[in-house]
Amino acid sequence: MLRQLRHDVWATDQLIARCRQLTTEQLQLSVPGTYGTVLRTLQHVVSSDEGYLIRLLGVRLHEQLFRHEPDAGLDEIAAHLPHVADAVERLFAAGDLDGDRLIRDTPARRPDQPRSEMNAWAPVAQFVHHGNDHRAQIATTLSAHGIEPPDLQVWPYAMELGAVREAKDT
Amino acid sequence: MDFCRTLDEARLDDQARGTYGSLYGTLQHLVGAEQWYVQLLTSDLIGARIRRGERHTLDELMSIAAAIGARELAVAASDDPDRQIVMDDGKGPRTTVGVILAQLVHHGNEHRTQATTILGSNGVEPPAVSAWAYGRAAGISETGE
Repeated sequence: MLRQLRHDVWATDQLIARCRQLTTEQLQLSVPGTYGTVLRTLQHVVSSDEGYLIRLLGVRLHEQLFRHEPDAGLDEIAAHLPHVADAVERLFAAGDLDGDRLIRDTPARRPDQPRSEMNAWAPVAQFVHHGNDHRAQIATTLSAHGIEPPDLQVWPYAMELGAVREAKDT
Repeated sequence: MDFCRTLDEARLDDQARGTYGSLYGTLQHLVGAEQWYVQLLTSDLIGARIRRGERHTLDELMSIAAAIGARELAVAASDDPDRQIVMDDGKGPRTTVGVILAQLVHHGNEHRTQATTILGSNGVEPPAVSAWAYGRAAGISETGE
């Protein structure tokens, strides 16, 4: 699970790096059936990642919450990814995660929001699903406008780490 | 796929710019890929080989997907994530069970998003397939989207 989450952070980082090569106008592209513009979708991915991790860790990742901010720029979004990466490592620092642990609340809850209880596996699985879902929407938007999206599969990530490599006969 | 079974057959040929292909083609690719991942993991071919260009019914795909899914869960529960696997009948690159399982999750997620994008862009409200929705369907969570 830790590796799955690390891949998720890597994929978002790769996508941000690709987006740095785009123009301001290209960052505002979207297609029907997706969440919104490239930039808004990226912000939604990273701010949601922080939200899941705040719930899982029970502490804020930094003083000011990074909530839904439609005007956030790429630099601001990118600046939050290290918080996500660090929180993922902290989550697993004590060993395997107990998926059945009951989380009773989140420090990110607004006073007017109802409290939700959930087992730890749910926000972890949702973290992976959610990032993947919205990165795929951005890839669709880029492709639909003739822009080659980066390859965010596990294969290139694993190759980068040497976890997929040419087999040597033994 | 359960949701898509309720649609008019012609909707399965719907497409959206920038995605893998038609709604049907995407679902078939998703199941076919998982069939291949499970074969990599276990050496067993589950169900008849799904080949690109062939057209199965959704019921056929769902039947194969259910058997594949059960096997995936069994592998995830019992196999060693660090076990080495050499792809392509021992002639290809070396990888591990954990990498293949991670790719399996990524791949399905990516193409399901393309399927929901096709539905949404053609005016059909897609089903909720998030982990939240799974928790609600399983009766173990009350979280919203």
